[in-house]
Amino acid sequence: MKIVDQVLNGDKRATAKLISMIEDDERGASEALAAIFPHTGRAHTVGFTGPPGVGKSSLINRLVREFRERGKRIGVVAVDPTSPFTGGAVLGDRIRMADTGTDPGVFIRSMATRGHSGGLALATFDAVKVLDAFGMDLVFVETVGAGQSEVEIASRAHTTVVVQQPQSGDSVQALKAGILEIGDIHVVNKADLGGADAMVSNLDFMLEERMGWRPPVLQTSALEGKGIKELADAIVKHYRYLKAGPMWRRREADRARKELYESMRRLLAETFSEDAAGETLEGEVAAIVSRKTDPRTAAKKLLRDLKLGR
Amino acid sequence: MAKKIRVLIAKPGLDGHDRGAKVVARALRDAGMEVIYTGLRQSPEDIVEAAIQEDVDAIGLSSLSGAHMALFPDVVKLLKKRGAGDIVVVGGGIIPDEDVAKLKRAGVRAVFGPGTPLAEIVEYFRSSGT
Amino acid sequence: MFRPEELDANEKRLRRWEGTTLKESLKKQPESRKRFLTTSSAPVERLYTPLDIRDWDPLQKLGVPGEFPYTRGIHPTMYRGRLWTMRMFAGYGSAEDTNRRFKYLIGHGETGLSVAFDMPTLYGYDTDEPEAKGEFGTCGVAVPSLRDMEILFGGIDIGGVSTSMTINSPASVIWAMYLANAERRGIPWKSLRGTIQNDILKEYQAQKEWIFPPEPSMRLVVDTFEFGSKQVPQWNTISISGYHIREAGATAAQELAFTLANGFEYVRWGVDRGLKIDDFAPRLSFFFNAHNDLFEEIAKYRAARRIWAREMRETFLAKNPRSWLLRFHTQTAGVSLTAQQPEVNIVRTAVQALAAVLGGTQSLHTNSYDEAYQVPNEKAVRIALRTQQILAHESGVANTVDPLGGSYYVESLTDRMEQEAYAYFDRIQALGGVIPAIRKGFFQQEIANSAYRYQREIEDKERTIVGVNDFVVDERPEVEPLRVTREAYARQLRRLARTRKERDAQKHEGALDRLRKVCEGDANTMPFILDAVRADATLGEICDVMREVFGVWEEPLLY
Repeated sequence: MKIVDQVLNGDKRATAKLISMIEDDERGASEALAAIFPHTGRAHTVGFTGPPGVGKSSLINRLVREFRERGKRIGVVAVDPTSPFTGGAVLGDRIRMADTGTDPGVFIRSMATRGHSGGLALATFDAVKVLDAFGMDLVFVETVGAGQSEVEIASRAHTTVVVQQPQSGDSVQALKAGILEIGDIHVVNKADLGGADAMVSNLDFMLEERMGWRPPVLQTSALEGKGIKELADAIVKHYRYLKAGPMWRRREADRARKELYESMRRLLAETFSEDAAGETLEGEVAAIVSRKTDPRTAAKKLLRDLKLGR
Repeated sequence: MAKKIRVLIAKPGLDGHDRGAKVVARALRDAGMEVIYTGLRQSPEDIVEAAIQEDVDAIGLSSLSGAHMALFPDVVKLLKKRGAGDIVVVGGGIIPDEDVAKLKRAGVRAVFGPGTPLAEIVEYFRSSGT
Repeated sequence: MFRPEELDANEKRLRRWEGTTLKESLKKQPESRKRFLTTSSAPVERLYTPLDIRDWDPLQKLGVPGEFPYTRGIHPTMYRGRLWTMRMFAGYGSAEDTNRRFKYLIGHGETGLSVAFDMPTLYGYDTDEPEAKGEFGTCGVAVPSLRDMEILFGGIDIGGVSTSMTINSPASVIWAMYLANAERRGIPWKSLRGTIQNDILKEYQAQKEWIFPPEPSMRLVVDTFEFGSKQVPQWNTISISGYHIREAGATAAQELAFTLANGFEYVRWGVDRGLKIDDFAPRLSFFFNAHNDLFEEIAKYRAARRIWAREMRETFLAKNPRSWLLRFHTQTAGVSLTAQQPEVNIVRTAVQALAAVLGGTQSLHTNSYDEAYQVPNEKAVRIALRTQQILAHESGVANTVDPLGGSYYVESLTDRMEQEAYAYFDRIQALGGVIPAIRKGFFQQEIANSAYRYQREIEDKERTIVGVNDFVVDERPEVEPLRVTREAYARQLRRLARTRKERDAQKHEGALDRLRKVCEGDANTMPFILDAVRADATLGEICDVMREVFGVWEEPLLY
């Protein structure tokens, strides 16, 4: 496909267009994704999650600059929520990442969730693949960060950075359950606000070594550009840790499994929503309502009868 | 999934008056579009780069400081140079009539002056995105 | 205060009226709308009576003019003694162009000067820097060097006339140029009168013309307070401005609340520096907007005076009554001007100016009808000035002090405005104060919400804007264009080049080095900025030194 060749040849416009094709689920999108897939798997994917307003975008902005100075090429996918009422979105993360301007080694893409939950859009990790194939060394993913469980990022990225800010009072009690487990690196941003030291030592106390990696807790101030080098170093260190042992492959396998399941689910759903299968489905629905069968039995029957893999 | 209209709203130059840009951004969002807001003080180069990476259908430029003649045509020119001449560029702000004609000749497709109804602006972006 | 039996009688009478006269009237002629709103979307009742200001004590709420709490005005005689200063905001092109405009305005009876600077000057860039591309002289005058300042005021008696300068982030540099110019002309600083806007907080909130982050910016502001109180005692070192907050979309109550909250923040920073409140507070001045809704605007000014006086006396414990006075300049609402049928802007501006005068303003700018298109042409400016002169000399509104004092409607609006302001003070406090609230984008968000609501009301025709969504005509407006010439631009570039070439390089470099050192430390920057200006350092060069030391501010998230 022409667009795939263009992406592989480093054409920014084509790369952006391919991401849109995937987002809009246009004709040809899955073929293109299949065509670029052999060219992916090289980029180090780093997810950033944490509550809104902790400065994830500013932190990424600083990190992009830092990694550029180290000669790396960086992609960013920044996710913002879609309004459930209008289907529209204002995507403003880019404002905080304006420093890199026209740098050819940087590609930033804003993405709306379009109804997907979990702080990511459905197309987020396909966009990551496109940026990987485009030749980026690192791809940063910024989640929405709104309240909800954001564990999805941890099963998708190689490295997950959990960003928080100093909190007053019983800070550790206020931490959401689950957030400690998903972080490979913890960051207390806005260290300039004060209270960061206590927060860091509280977090540090609660974290344990898992499979040879003890998540570090770092202080940064995106505002003042402090702690950025250390954070970049920690990201690199985690990459080396993953690569040195079995963990890189294990994470890749986790991701592949998840994507496989997801693709199966999607295909299945699409199959039923299409043409003749719709009628079959409605037949079973009627049978369930009139208590001639039950949902589980009906599902088994449908799957058995289904000719998958057309 | 239906194709989403994506629009970049940008403030080129030094002008800090962002009331109109923000109101338009919200109106487009409320009309179901995805709006990338770039913030203040953007150079034409920054705007074009962002428009390409974000693969937008259209760019809305807002300027109230009188620098539109120097900045809007540059955006059109740079887009063409980057092979993205199909992205629609429109302008808004304090822009005298004789400049409107000049901007249109320079490739700015529409200019929305003070008092333009939001509905008209929304409709324009909707039709340019499809 | 009303006696209980008086209120009872009023209430009975009102209920009877509602059941009879009003009821019949509504049957015959229902009201034209379900709800009536002010320009700020606040509800307005059908009728205001003593019941709306039940506990209202005129002695406590109004007092007498020229005395605490100054609700009725800061002078005992108000405009009977001296009219407000007619001060037209002006500036375009080069210093020569604007100097001509100043003389034209003085010739037509304006009584104070007000300088509009161009965008590069407002952001601390010289005309020839890349950031300035396309912006020279378009919405103000370019003053990147002392030479420009000299030309700007050439032939004007700056010892006699007062000058207001709308400059914020680089305010201390522009002020230093004004002072150095006076020095060269042998005019003592002690005789200089005027104002620098110097209000950086509202830049982060609304106007968005910032350079440095809040803390170093506030330091520069307090440096001018300290320097001014000793060296230029008649100068207002700040004009705490609600104007731009309103223009960005705020309601009247938000304008009032945010402006006063900013005012208190400046006072705190001054006190924290170790300045005596009564040494600098009398030189704090204010600047408000005059929008379309006559009574709402009047109430806003009256509430502002009362809140400021109370807080300065009771919270900040200022002893000098001059510290309690809220003196303010007013500008009619630029945002209300329409591009459609522009001539009717003359009428809008007249109503807005009337609000400012009835609200007791100290000085006034009236917008010109062509400003939805451009920086105004001469004729348009003259009409705007004439509007003030008609109010002053023909309308009779200046003949008595606070003519609307005691109006049930205006007094209850004034009270409501005051309550809304205090509610906002609490919210700002809860966010940790003004600067943390800026960092969280609080003001920006509140303002954007109001702006959007206002626009929706116009779209939905809940609000009529003559010539825009009703009473529309299909005709091309005729506005005589005003253009900045290529010659002016070329001349400006030559002048800057010559300044850079002819100045004493060693002196220039030394002055900038000393300025850098003082910026890195914590001594007052003003004397060093003055030295740099005297050594012909340009605005851009001085601001570059500060940018290097202080860093630059980035906008917080918006949505």
